[in-house]
Amino acid sequence: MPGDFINALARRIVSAGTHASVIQPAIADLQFEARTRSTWLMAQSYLGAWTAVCGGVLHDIGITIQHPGFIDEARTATVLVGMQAVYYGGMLSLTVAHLPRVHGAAILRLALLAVIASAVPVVALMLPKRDMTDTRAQQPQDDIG
Amino acid sequence: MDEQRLPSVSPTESLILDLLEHGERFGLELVDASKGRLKRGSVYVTLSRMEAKGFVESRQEERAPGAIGLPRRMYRPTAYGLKVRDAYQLLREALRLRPADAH
Repeated sequence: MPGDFINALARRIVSAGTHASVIQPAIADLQFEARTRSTWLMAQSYLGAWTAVCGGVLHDIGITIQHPGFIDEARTATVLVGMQAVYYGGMLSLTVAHLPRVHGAAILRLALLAVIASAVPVVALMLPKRDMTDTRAQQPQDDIG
Repeated sequence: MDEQRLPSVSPTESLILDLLEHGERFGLELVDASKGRLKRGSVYVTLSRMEAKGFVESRQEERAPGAIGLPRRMYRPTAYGLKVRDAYQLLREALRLRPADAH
């Protein structure tokens, strides 16, 4: 079926909720319009489906940022990366001080390695779960008639 | 102090609620009915946000046995969504008043 590839790809990169509410309806439209066999409509539908995937990714990022715990998690991650960077930076300085001749480019490469070694484990550990739910602005509806 | 967040309706959300007021519609029908104001790629993100806010409800279309392809999703407004939209329209009209007109 048309759109199966986009659907499978999107399933891997967006949350389950976003996939069900944003991507699947766009793919369903694409498959519905495939029956019309109009090249122009199909091109529009493919463009719409790819745009929906991009929109879905941005939607997930928006949900993550607006999550109540995001600021605390970002602060914790920054402190952890900073502490590790200081540790690796210190080790790097001691290593460089004991080497007879070190080029500036080599120091830069080692510094970059230190930053990556500091950030990657923290970011990997703190990545949000893919089954996140939209917690924005749930309004009470009990008194609406 | 724990202050409750007030609901907000963007002009696009208001347009969608207007288009849905007279019955259930598919996303594509909304795009066609909006005469270019809604885009295929972004309409479902907006509808998803509106569903999270409680402004619209959705369900999958009923399919005939043996139908191929994913089922499409139909949307309808909630009473809450229409009420918030009406309140926002009143607010916009009030804010459009000039001081001399308010007396």
